[in-house]
Amino acid sequence: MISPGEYFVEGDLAAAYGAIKAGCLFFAGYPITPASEITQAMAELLPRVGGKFLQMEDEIASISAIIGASWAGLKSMTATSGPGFSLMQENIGYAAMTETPIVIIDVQRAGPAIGQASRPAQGDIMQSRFGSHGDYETIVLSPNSVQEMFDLTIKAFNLAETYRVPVIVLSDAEVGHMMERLIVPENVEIVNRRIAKSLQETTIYDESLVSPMGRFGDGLELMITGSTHRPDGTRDTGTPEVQESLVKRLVNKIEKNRERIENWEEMYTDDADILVISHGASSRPSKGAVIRARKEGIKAGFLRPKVLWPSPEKRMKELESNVKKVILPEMSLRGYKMEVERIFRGKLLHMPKVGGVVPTVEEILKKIREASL
Amino acid sequence: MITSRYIKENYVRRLPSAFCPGCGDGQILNAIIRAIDHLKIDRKDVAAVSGIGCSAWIPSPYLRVDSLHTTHGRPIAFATGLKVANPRLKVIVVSGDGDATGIGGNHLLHAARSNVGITVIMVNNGLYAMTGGQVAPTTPHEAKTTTTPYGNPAFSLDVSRVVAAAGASYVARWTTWHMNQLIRSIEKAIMKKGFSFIEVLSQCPTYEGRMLNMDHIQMLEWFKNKFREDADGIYKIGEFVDIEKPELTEELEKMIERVKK
Amino acid sequence: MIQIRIGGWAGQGVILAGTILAETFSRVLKKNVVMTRSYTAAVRSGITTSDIIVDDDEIYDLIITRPNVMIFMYQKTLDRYIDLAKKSDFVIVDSSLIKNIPEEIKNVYKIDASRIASEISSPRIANMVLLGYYSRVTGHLGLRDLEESIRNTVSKRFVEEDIRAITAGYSFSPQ
Repeated sequence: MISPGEYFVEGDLAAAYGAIKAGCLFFAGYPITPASEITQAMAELLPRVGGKFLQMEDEIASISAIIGASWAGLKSMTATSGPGFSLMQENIGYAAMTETPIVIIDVQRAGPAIGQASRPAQGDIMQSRFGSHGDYETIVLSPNSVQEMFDLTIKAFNLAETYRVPVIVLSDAEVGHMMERLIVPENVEIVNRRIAKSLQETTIYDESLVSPMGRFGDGLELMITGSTHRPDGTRDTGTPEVQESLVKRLVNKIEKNRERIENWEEMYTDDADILVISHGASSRPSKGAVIRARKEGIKAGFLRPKVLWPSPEKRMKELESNVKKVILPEMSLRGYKMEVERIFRGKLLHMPKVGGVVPTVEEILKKIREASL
Repeated sequence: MITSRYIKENYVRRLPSAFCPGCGDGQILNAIIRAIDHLKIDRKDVAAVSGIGCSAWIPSPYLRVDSLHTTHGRPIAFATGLKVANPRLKVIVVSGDGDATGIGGNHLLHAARSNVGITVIMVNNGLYAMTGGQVAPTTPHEAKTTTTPYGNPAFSLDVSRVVAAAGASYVARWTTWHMNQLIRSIEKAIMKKGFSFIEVLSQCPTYEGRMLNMDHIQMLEWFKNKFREDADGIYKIGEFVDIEKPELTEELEKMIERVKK
Repeated sequence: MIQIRIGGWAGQGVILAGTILAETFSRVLKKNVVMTRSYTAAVRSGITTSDIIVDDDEIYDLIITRPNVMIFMYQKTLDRYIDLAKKSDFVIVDSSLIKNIPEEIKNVYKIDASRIASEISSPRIANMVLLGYYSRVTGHLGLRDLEESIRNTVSKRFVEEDIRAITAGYSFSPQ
């Protein structure tokens, strides 16, 4: 299945290929533009590798089903877009609370509400981190090409299995629907969760604050609950220390490992006066604009988080002291703005483009030129 | 002879339970345990899934099997994923009337329609008990609850009839008065290939009792006298559906075999 | 860099033509290619476009900013994109269906694609006739390259018909 070689496919299909390569054996989903192509591809591909596909009655059922399947020991995924992603939020929190590895692909479209169903946007960034109630952390990846739809979907499974968290691949309608070359390599690094052999083992956390995961049907008498619980699963909603240690660990699992999780691309940052930070589809013209600006003698640099959450906080802080201005082109009025503004404060020139159209090299270059004056 | 000590030692994680005095949930836990024991199924092959509500606590934490205590209204969807991912498991959902037919009604309909081989035991006390006795889809017309202080302006749902119409393979309704029938029914439901559904009318002395102006003894007597196999509507008990037909998990497995060739 | 837009009406095979063209550049000629599609929600009615950006270098712009080639298969699509067409080096039109071409659009290359397609088999393959003509007019790629791509991607029973169509388009003298 998905033999190594060269393909020319759309981003959504590349994500499905990545999922199969990563060892995904269960998918539950509900049709929605512009993510339906992932769902359709999984319906076709999964049975061929002995995996199970279910089209559920809605997105809430879809995420519920993949959490259930993950506890049966299968790598599980769903794919959706804005409206469906909103419906999934409660159970994203449930997956975080129960430390269930799952992968959710959100192919972002312009909102709010129904918005522009087939047009790209990048307005789900804060939701992807804070969408469910309470304190928790997820990992959010941001592909900007068809190749990365494949690569980062595999990475999403690996991170989910490593840290036992829901991992979100935050794509957009542009990257999901565009067609490009995809190279499927001979060898792909795959991570599988550690399976507990006893209930006791599920209570022992390693230095990453992760414990081996039990599996339904193995006789461990697992007690999995979304309520506050002790390490062995016993519900205990009345003891402050139980809630405190659980929630702190859920957050620290990401926070303390963030340097291992963070990932970004950068270029010309050493002597940059103007730093362009961008992610997903809008990072493509951003990079092009930085290259053009350099040719014009402007000291522009480029930083692209491939992992949006946790953000490349340390790297951004290092760059903060040297750069004079930061430009953030993105397809949202808020997008990643709060995170960048938090670090670069008054240096940020936000460049939102809403309307469902990716910014162009020329538009971003104009902004860089203005900033350089 | 199944003694209560045998049950405690083999099937119950811990006691006493947190249920109110006189609550029917303990009886239903007892019935599920006896059914599993009669069937001589290995406990490791049983998984219990529940949502939110008093009845969700029947399996979690009390029943000593792998248990998944999920979000409100969604246990059937979680259970569907679990069952399809591991068809060997006997998956039992214990849900309340609000959980299964209010917030989660859509999942109930579609699980019945797709005939996924799980068992849903819906504990029906006619209102939302855990949150303080609010009106539910099963609350009778004109009944007073904490959110219908002047009487329920809406009408109640005959859940078993709806689930039967949606395509379940097995549907039965009993009350906590009819313990022997209930246990046999749970046994049949667990062994049923397709989707099985058991509605259990259960007494909630705390809130339902207040609504009906009865204590738990009076409620059991009400179950005994009023709920009969020859009664009509919501008072009719018994097995409503008991058929064999293709089941989702099995169909999926067949499809995979076909496609892989 | 080459920027190409194919515009037509849903059901005319705009996306298929775009995919074949994009695949030819990507897989046969080993260029970097981004192809995007735009269509209205209703599958069988509405303006449909297929945009292709080709470059030897990494591709940064994901949308057409200054087209080199515009291929129009339907009057309403041309009407919609007149401003872009004015800037394009080549404007290729199916003159069987497009009668009204504003004078300010220069570099127009007309071909009776639907009629030629009908003579081969059916107007359904007018998209392929236009691809062949595109190759002839622009020289961006050869007829053989297109042929190889069609053999790789199109289902077997349509291959011969499609190749006849691109050949017919290629053989048509530019006008």
